[in-house]
Amino acid sequence: MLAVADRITVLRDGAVAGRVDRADATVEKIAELMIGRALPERDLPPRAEGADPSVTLRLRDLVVEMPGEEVRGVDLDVKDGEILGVAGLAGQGKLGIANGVLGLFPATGTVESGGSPLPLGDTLGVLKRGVAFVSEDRRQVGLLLDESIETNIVGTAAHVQGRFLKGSGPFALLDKSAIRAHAERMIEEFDIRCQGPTQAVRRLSGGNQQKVCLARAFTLEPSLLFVSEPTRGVDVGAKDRVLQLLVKVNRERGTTIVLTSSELAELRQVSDRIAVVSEGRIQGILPPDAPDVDFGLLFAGGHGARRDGHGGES
Amino acid sequence: MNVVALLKRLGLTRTVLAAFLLGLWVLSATASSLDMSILISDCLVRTGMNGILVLALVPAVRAGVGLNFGLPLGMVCGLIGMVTVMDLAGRTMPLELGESYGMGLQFALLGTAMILGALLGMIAGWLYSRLLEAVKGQEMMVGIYVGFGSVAGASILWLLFPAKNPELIWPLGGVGLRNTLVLDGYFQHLLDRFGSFSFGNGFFPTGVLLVWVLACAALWLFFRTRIGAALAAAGANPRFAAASGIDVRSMRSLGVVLSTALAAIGIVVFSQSYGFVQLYKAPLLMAFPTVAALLIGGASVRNAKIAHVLIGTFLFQSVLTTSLPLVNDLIAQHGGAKALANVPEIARLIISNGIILYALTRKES
Amino acid sequence: MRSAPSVRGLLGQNVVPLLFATLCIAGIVAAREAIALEILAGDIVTRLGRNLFLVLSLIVPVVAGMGLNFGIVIGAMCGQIGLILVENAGWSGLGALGAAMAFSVPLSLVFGGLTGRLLNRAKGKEMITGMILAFFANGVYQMIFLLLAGPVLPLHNQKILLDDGIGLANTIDLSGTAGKLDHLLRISLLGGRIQFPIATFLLITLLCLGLRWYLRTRSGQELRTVGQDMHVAEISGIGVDKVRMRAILISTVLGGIGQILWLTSTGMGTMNTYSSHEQVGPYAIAAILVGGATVTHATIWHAILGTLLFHTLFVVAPLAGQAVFGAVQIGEYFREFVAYAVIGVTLALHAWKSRRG
Repeated sequence: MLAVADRITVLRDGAVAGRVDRADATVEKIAELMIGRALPERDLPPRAEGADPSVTLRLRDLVVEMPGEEVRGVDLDVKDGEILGVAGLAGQGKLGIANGVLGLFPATGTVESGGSPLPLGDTLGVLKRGVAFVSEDRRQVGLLLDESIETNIVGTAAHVQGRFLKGSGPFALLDKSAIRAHAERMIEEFDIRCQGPTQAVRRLSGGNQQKVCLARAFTLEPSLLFVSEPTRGVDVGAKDRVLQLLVKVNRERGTTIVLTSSELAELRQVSDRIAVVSEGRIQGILPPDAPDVDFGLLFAGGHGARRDGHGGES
Repeated sequence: MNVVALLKRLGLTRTVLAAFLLGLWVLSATASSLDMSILISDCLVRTGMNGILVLALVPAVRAGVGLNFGLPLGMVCGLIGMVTVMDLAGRTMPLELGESYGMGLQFALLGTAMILGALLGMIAGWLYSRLLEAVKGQEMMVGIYVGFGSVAGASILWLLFPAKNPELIWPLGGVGLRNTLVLDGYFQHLLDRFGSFSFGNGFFPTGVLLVWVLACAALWLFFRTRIGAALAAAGANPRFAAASGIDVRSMRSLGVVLSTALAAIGIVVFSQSYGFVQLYKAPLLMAFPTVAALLIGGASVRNAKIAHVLIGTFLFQSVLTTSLPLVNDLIAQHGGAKALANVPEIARLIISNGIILYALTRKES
Repeated sequence: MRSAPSVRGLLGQNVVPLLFATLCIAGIVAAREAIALEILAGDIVTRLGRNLFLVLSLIVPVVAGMGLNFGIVIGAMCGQIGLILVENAGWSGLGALGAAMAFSVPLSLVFGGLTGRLLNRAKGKEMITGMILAFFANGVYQMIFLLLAGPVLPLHNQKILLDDGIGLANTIDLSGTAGKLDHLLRISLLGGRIQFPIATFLLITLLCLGLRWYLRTRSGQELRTVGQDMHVAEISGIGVDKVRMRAILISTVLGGIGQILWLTSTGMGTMNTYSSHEQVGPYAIAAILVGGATVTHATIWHAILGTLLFHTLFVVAPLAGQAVFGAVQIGEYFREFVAYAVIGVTLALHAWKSRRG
């Protein structure tokens, strides 16, 4: 681009972020424009200091055929109890990782959790191993829009774990009162603004829909949680609330979280480490307080600097 | 609550048809010589008679397959069940003219026919679901032709059926089974009369309504089991279901299997009320009024509830049952063109197909 | 240019017509005692003349990507209305036949327009919508001609009305127009056992040429583009809804004329006012499919070959059933089963293929 263009305009979030002439342009400068400068404040609760955490999820040569978000060979270690951010530009494959691990798109490679392989392509098997997923596509994948809040919250847990049932065997019925009680607790805990647990989720705002998605995932009581684009289409107030919830669960229950987002700022706000995906591969892993320039270079495909980052706070 | 909101809540078609039915009944009670008790009794019988067939549509809609126009496939299975049972009974325990089987035996015959029909329905339904899986997106159109094809195919079976019971085959050297088999002595009106009590000159068909309501309750409960909930989720949003670890294909398949098996049971109940087993072309177009009843109850191509079955079957069947004798009576009393006798049939065509058209072309969010 | 097609490819493309040709030959062999070959040939010539126009009317919507036009029944009704008007006026002869066609055209345009509007609302579901629409229209048709004919509609000819002057009779005698076109110009072959109706076939040939010409015009090209990919057509500035509407209008108008030809063909001559139109859709559709057409591809040759094979089977199946099983009905149900099966299988194959891309 630098070789052929006279002037370079950088677009970010659908608006012009800045223009530079070729004479002034450097990779770093463009990278800064691509990322946006504001480094958010990090005001996170501390976590208990302990021994160097073990690896809870190990990806080797993961290839995912997700149209538009192809993953072309990812090696990644997720440590027990951390929040790992996954960043990258749209279409580079960052969304494919979670979808591939959960078996929603055809994938190859090895995925190990807790030392034993996760069955690729078997969503039920993966969910049963204590992995949960909040999809980037809230309306198409994340929710049953015409069903009630309570059905959305407990549906997956009832199916995967056989919870919220009265009795056992194939004729066990859903336990309405247990479901209602759980849903009401979640509505309060997650501050879901609604008319009650029987309201259809279609009627909720984007932020509250997202909270329902998170409530559904947390109901599974996962040890490892994939969350993709949790703040997309969510108003500002709810955005913070969603991020706080993730941090809270991470700190209180020790849930390992792999947080994929297009907004680097929010990743830097809550993550322990941030892996940057480009062209379907991990280009590097950076601490959240790494300079913008480093992020920008990795976003652009890692040409120039290549750093193997290790945990930010570790 | 304002009128528009109220109408929306009640459902426009349901409200209009309920008002229409009420009008017909008022007209019957005041202007005709019809006996209201008989009329109401007939409406109830017709409701119970068709109820399970309408119910049979629900699992397929909930599983996301759409309106199961392939219902005749299941009906044919139920017919095979009845014909087989009648033939075996006639061979082993022939009836003399005017004789009937004992009550217990009648129930046994009816039950066996249902079970046999349902089993065949499950097998046929499973094969049918394989086909539907291959033609996703065109399920309804393919379903119509699966229905037509199974009726035409079964017609050949009726011609070749190795029946020995003389009541099933033509008396004088005709080929194959008769068009209409009389259930008198077997299980004619067995459920209608079971536990029934009379009011006025009519009667309340307790048994058949009970069986229908029980079947509805069973399906209602099914949707509250883990598998039933998974089936509904697979129908409402397949991608959500897949992300929740639900095997969407199996669930769609299960919906079709249930639908087909219920249709088999439904035609057995229908036949005992009707008093005859109708073979050959009789089931050809039966899916359409059945679908219409469900839609009138408030269902759509993507959503059907048990309440829709209860309301729709009663409203639609009652309107049909009332309008025919009413129109004939009014013509007989007050005179009028002969052609008017066709009004109920014309109304049926327009109402049932109009509501299906509406369901097909409405924009669903 | 395409390279020479492989044997397998040819077989694969023509598997349906080949299968039916085999069935027909088997049927003819089985029924050889019951019907002489030249009688069969004569029968089939008559049936070709009777049905081909209707079958050809299905082509344009297929090209436009709207699938098999089950709504053709609407056109058939319009044709019947044309005949009703002529009979009401008491006209007869070739002129009356022409007048019936002329009356049917504006009706077809109106009702075809309504059909088109509805089908444009039901993209992707055109076939089932067309089918249910045909059932619905049948109800409306009955309402109009059973209840309104006489008191409201100015139909006064007692010959076509029920005794009390309200509602059309169940059957209407078409002897005034029946056979007029067939008899206009015909040659006797094989000592009169085959009557070849030249005028009718001339009209059909004219239609074939017309269709060929039309599909090559700009308008026909637009039709093709819409049929291949609505989205691409939209981007290229083609008014998709308009083009689809045009296809349905053409099909409905041709269907109306086709129904008139069918009803007034030699050997017909009676119209079942309330049911003659009902079977038109399924049988015409089965015929074109038997010829090798699919939901997305139909040509004049498919129509001709299909009509030939389907009606051969139609004639010989009951005779073969009688000869082989001793039961006419087996053959009758078999041909019905075949008609349904061929439509069902074609639809299934289409859906299956389009899913796999």
